[in-house]
Amino acid sequence: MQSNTAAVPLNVRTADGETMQRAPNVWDRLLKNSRSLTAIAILFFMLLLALAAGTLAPYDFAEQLRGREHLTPSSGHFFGTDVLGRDILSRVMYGARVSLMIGLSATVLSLVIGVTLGLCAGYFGGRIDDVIMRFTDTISAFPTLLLAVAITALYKPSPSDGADVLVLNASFWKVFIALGVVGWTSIARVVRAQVLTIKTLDYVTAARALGGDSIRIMFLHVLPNCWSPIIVLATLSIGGNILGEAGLSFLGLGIKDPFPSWGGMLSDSKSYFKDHWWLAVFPGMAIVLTVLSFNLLGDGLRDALDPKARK
Amino acid sequence: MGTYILRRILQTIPVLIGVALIAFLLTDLSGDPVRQMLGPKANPVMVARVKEHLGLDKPFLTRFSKHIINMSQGELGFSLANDGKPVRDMIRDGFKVTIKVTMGAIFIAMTLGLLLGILSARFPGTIIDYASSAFAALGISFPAFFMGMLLLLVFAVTLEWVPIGGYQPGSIKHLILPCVTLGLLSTASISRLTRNCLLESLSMDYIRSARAKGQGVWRVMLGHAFPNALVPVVTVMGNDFAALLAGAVLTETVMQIPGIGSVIYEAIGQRDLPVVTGCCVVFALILVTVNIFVDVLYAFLDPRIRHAE
Repeated sequence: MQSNTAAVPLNVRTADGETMQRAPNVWDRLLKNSRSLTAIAILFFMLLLALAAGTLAPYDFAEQLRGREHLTPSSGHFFGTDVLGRDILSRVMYGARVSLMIGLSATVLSLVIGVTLGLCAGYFGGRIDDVIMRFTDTISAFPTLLLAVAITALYKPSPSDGADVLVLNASFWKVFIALGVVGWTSIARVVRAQVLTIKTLDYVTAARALGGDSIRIMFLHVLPNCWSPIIVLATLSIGGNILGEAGLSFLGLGIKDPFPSWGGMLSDSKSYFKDHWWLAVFPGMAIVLTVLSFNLLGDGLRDALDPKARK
Repeated sequence: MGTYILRRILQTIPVLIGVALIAFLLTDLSGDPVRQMLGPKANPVMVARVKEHLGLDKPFLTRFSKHIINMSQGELGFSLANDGKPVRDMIRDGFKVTIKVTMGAIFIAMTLGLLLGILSARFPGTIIDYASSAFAALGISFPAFFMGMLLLLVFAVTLEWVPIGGYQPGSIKHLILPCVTLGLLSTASISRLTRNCLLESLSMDYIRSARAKGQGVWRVMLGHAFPNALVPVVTVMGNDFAALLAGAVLTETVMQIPGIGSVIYEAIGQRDLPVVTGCCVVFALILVTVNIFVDVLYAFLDPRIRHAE
């Protein structure tokens, strides 16, 4: 780990024409890490697939090709076709949209809840801290996926569901809310721990002495200094949410057919994958590759943001 | 030590009340259970009578306190499907199978994870270390059910070493794949943590002293560094227990094992929320208990923790 992220000073030419060395910043350190670089490249590729699925995908995600059911991977269908004759490659590409959108949006929701609660708990302390932390303990006491299952199961499907667009349809919102409202606890704990240290620093005392109100101090003075661990945790939790979406879809609570999501495609393949391996392997590998990339990027960011911890 | 355990148990009381409240709210928000049980065409008088009989017409606080009393007596309500079977019985039947899978998985994860971690720390920067590192990175990125599907394809369909899913009471063969699937996922995190903690311990002065006294590399590693590295590993194992239980739900679905996962899966299909929330509560109770156990073990392994405060 140390060798491939070594902090190499960079040459900078000054106005006088002198060459000086500047200390490497976070980006320099991140891009020097080969694993992070690979992860960024894979994620960029996945993002491209998701955004350009409409143009790049050989078929529409719902197009059923009569007489071409269960075709093995070939030059006509690189990833084969499913039980209804739909092209798996196209569905994996469109599925990237759903999985990435859910991963990112649920993480943003968790961040909003976790950062706000962690900030309040750490900054105000006392009773507020006790109440928030006991609530956090309670939510963490449930296995995340199961609580998400229970929240998702609350939702009653209506006949108009699924007649919507690919993302942002009813089943998307249900998964987004379920994952977002259960995944904030570790973020709140980390933010609280950071705030407990930062709020005792002189500049925060000075801001308070100058008459700054609590909300302003919390968000303008304390929060900017907590970002490093939050960014790392958020990156890791995008991967976690993609796994969560896959799990919910696998249990039949996620994105509904005909809309493709990687977990949903695995769920659809449950009865057939023993004879038709490609139905499960390609969407499954897409999940693994994407989650692995987010995990590697999270680790790389941790090293880049906190070189002391790396050593 | 006794005071420490007592304090730790007292700290969980608000959490348990919170768990009960969330479970109650989830069931309450899911709609009218009596209408779900009797169907949409049920006679309103009959519905009102059943509600009165079950105490569902009472105010929120009265119902919640009754819910707490019921929970403390192990009553988790009744299934909306399955002829109103008690949720407690359904969970108990499922758990008999799930606990076998989870225990097998923990055994595999601990054995393989510690072994890989020790080998990586003993030979850092070698092919063993890199392979273990790659295995760990992949392990935490695999969905449990996809891992299960791949193992089924290789070991059950292609090699025919183990049966293709299903479960027979008393048959170990049927439990091998689910245990390995879940165990491998936890092995990843345990091996990485063991490696990092061991390497940190090995850089301490007392290790140098032990080596200076002439003790062998393995003796120093296993006799001195390993016990210190074990403390964080035990904590992570406690946290992994949550992931294992959730993973068991998905793996059992793939492998057609009639455990708690199948109970939840069927309940989801039938929109039987009392069963889903009942399982959530039981899982939460298990996790809280495991966490207390881990904290006590932590204090036992590291005297500085029990003597703090």
